[in-house]
Amino acid sequence: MIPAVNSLNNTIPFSAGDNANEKKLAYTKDTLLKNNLMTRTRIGFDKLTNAFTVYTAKGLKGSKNANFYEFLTMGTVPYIVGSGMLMAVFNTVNTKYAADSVKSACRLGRKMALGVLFYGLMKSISKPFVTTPVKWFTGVDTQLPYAKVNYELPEDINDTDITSIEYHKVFESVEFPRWDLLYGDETKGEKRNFRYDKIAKKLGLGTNLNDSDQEVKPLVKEIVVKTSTATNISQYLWAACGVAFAFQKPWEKFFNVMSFKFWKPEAFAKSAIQFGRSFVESAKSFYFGNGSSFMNRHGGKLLLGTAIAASALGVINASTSANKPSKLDSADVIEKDRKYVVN
Amino acid sequence: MTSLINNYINTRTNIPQNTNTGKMVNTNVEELDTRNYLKPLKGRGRLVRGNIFDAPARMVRDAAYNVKSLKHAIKGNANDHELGKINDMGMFLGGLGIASYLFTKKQAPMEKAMEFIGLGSFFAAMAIWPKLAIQLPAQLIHGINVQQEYIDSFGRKKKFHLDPQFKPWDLYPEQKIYKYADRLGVPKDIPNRKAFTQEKINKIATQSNTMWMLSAGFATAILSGLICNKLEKPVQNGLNAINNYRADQLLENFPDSVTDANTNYVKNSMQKIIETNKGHSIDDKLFTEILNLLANDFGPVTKTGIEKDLRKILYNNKFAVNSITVENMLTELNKQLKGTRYQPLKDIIIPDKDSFIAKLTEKNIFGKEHDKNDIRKISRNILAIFKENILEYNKTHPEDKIDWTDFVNKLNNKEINKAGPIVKGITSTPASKLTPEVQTTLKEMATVFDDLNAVKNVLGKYAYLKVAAAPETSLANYWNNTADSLIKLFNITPDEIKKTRYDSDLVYKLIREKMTEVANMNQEDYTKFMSTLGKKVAKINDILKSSDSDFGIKETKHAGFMNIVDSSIDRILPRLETDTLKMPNFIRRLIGVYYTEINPETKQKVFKTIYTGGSYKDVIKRAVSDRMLGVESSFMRLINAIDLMRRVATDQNVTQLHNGYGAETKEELLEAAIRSVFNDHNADFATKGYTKRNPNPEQGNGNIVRKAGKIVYQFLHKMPEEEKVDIPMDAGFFQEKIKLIFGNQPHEDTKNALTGLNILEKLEAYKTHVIEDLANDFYFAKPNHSISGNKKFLSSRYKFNICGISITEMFYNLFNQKYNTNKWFKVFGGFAAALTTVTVGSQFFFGRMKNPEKAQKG
Repeated sequence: MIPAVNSLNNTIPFSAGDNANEKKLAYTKDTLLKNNLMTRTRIGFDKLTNAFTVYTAKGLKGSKNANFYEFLTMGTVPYIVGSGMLMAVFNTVNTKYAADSVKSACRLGRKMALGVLFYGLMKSISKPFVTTPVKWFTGVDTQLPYAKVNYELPEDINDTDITSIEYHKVFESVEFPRWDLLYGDETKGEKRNFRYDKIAKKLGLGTNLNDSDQEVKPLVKEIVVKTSTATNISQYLWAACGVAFAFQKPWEKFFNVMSFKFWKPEAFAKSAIQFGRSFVESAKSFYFGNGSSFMNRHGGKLLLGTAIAASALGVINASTSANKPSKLDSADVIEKDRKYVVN
Repeated sequence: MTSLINNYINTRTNIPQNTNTGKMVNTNVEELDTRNYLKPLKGRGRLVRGNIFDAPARMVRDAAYNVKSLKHAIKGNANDHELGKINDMGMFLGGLGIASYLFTKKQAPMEKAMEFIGLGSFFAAMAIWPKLAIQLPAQLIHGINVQQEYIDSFGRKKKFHLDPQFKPWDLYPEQKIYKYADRLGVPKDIPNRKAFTQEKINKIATQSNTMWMLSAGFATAILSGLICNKLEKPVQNGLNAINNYRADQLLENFPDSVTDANTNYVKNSMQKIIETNKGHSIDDKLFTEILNLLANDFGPVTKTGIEKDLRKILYNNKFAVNSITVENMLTELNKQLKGTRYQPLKDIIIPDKDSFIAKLTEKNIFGKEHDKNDIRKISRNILAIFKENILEYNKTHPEDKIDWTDFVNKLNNKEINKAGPIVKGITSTPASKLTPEVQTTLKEMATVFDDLNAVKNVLGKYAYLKVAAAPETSLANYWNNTADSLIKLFNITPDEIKKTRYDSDLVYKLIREKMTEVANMNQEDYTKFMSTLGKKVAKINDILKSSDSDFGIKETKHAGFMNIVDSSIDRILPRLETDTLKMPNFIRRLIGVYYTEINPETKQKVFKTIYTGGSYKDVIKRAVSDRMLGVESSFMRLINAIDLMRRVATDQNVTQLHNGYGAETKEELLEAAIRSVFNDHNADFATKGYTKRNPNPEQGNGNIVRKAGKIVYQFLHKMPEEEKVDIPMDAGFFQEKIKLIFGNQPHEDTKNALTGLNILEKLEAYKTHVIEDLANDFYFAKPNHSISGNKKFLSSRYKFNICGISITEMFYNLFNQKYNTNKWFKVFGGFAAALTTVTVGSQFFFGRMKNPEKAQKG
């Protein structure tokens, strides 16, 4: 990772000496964070705002500091814009139609919009359906976040702000997990392997192990891969359930009285109550179906069943087969028969 | 990262170092195989240089890689790259789930197909956009492929420019980079030219990737919508072609189609019923079971016919009186007396089961079979038992006597002609049994019903595919295509559509103007116009046989739908009237009121109908012909209107405009005729004869005045509209109007244009139907304004169909449909164009860097 030197005249030191202007950083080194709602919200907010502002600006300028993390974070932009656009495609033109076409166009348009909303909602809330039970059963928190302090190249000779914070997950990469962050800080009285000890105990490898970290690492890796597989597949099936749920007929009653004008309490309350009713009725209609053919009656159950099964099988797969203790032989670390190359 | 390195360094101290400092003399293989001498091999990564021709091969390879990834992922030993693939697969799987679910919610194949097209278009849009709006312009502007892919040494396909901090530049030959440098205009004499070029490419790639992320959200949604929008028509046409072919095949190989459609359901189910109930008496439950099985595929009216016949076949009109009869009777009596003053006394009047049986045995009723005619006698005997008990009671309770007449009245059913509890009891156990003879008859019946159901299924399927009210049926598609072509044919601009679509009055004025232009065309142009329209309309002959149309020539040479309905049902009828199986009521429901004759030549029984209304045959035939009549009438009305305008413009075949009417009345007549053709509506025809006229018209004997072919009214608009009135007693005016529109020969040019298309004949037939039927209806436009004096009483269904859709309404609907589609297309097409412009345009500004100072030449 040695960037090209583009300015031979650049004699400014790597870190600017002007301490008065130096940005106060929340973290000075890579720091493990607690996986709780507050942290997740803060990280989500940070990533979202950066995706639309800082990273986009850096990307458009073609900054040499733009990196893969920023590119991936910017992936939320098409997601959000696309959702809005999809809603717009089915709704904006509707009112321009002749009166008799407006109603049916709106009905479909609003269902589409609700579908987009529920797609996103179900996709994001369904991840814990897999990750949380896996954490209970194995002790491995696959979603554990950490803050990474990134040192950048100065953009120009006056650029003193050369650090940036990125939010990653410890197990983001299964090939290069940040094992180092999981070790305890002995200066704070933590046992060096205390996190690994916990996992080892949960996995049934026993307690008081000499090198619990070495014992659990391959197992954790396997759990992470399996969990990630299950979430990747099941989240889209849950999202599909969300869309199917949005396409139920009872929602039409809600669309008739839909109002977001919270400053008009009466209309807003009516709208909210109808939302609740339509929600319940739609859930019933989705589950029980209607119509005569088998698929009409059981299509919803089938879709929901597939999503539940995908999550459940994922949890079982991640928590069971990994249970057998395995001790890696040093010979396995580097396979003699295999050719190791770069790129 | 630094902490990692420190860790590593610290742990290294204990590892024994290689102490071999001397020159290596004896190098052997074993020694080489130690890590001291382990060296990285040359990378095996390579850039992907694909073109469109090896795309299928690449797709297969990628799919195989995905399968492998999934396998690894489930086992838990996948790498990051493989896990990324799982995400893509999940996304596709989810999409498939959505499309499949919505597929089940849709009824019509067209809508079902669009669900998957929608899914496909979404993924296609995601793939196409970066290639079209990012990769291609960058290639053209900068000569760089910003979406370049490479395969690393482990066979993982990645995007070269995805991670700006890690790019395997050594995969590019040095010469290639200098080529890029030349294309990018990098000065030749700068230090580190290669590094500078790479940096410039990096910058372009980073900017392109950002632009991709910024635009993809907008683009994917719109592109996918546009793709669907454009695919809808071809898909519809494709589905239509398939459906039409399927339907035609059904009729062409009718016997085979029927054999295929025969499920033997009735036969098999009947067999089961017989097995279970062999020898049992046929009670109500069993009867209903058999009836429901037979009538499963028929409506309630036909079911009553089947029931009547079945009753005659199964029951021999005898009833058995046994302990079940007594039990049923007691239950019925209890029910009947509940809530009356006799309820508390019922145990005194009505004996309990055992003593009841004893009494009935005494009277020689119990344990015997009785004829239907004996029911009255048995009832009397039973009542006698009750009477005895009542008399006994009355003796002991003189103060509270039971009135015998009142009691008997209470036992009668309140509903007239319905059996009371005693009769209900007796008839609850018919003496008929499922004897071997009855079983044979039922089996025979089941086979006939299976055959009949198969015939019905095939006919119904054909009718559905051809004419049902679904978007992909042949008739609907024909209507859409023909109506669509009218916009082009009449040269109607999007602007005209936009301005008039809200108001049918504006639509009417526009179309009338357009049609006047057509009517005033020169002969060549007019003939061309009419023949183009004629050819479009004539396409209906590809959908349904001309003989099936009400306007068609009845021919027997081609086996059309109507002929097949007749022959297929008629073939089955004799099997419903044999020596053992007689179902006259059912036959009546199938074909109508009938009688039979023996054909003297074939000695076969022939079924002739007197009245077919409401029969199955009538229903299925009318289902097809009515839909066809409505569609054909609508187009014939249009052709006739154009012809009328042509006749008027050229003053040919308009006898009614040269009669004894005064000049103003002639103008009124012409105007009324034109308005009527354009606007008279098929749903409320009875109120549309209202014509505002001058009660004291000018009597001058002038003719209609034309200037350059266009009518110029001399009198019509002189009188203010509000002073004009309808003159309902002027039947002559109505008659002349109808004759002017329908009673004349078509214009010569119209005839020439339509000859040989089978449309001229239909036009004539249509006009004859109107003149002879519609115009003679006792209340069509005005009560009793019949054209010939022969009053007819037409059904409103027929009047509705023969009127067809009014021309104004046809165009009004068409305009709105066109406008809606165009509006959407305009808004989002415009947005897509703007987005593309911004995305592509911005790329001209990518990659701008200050060139480094030139190297000093020393």
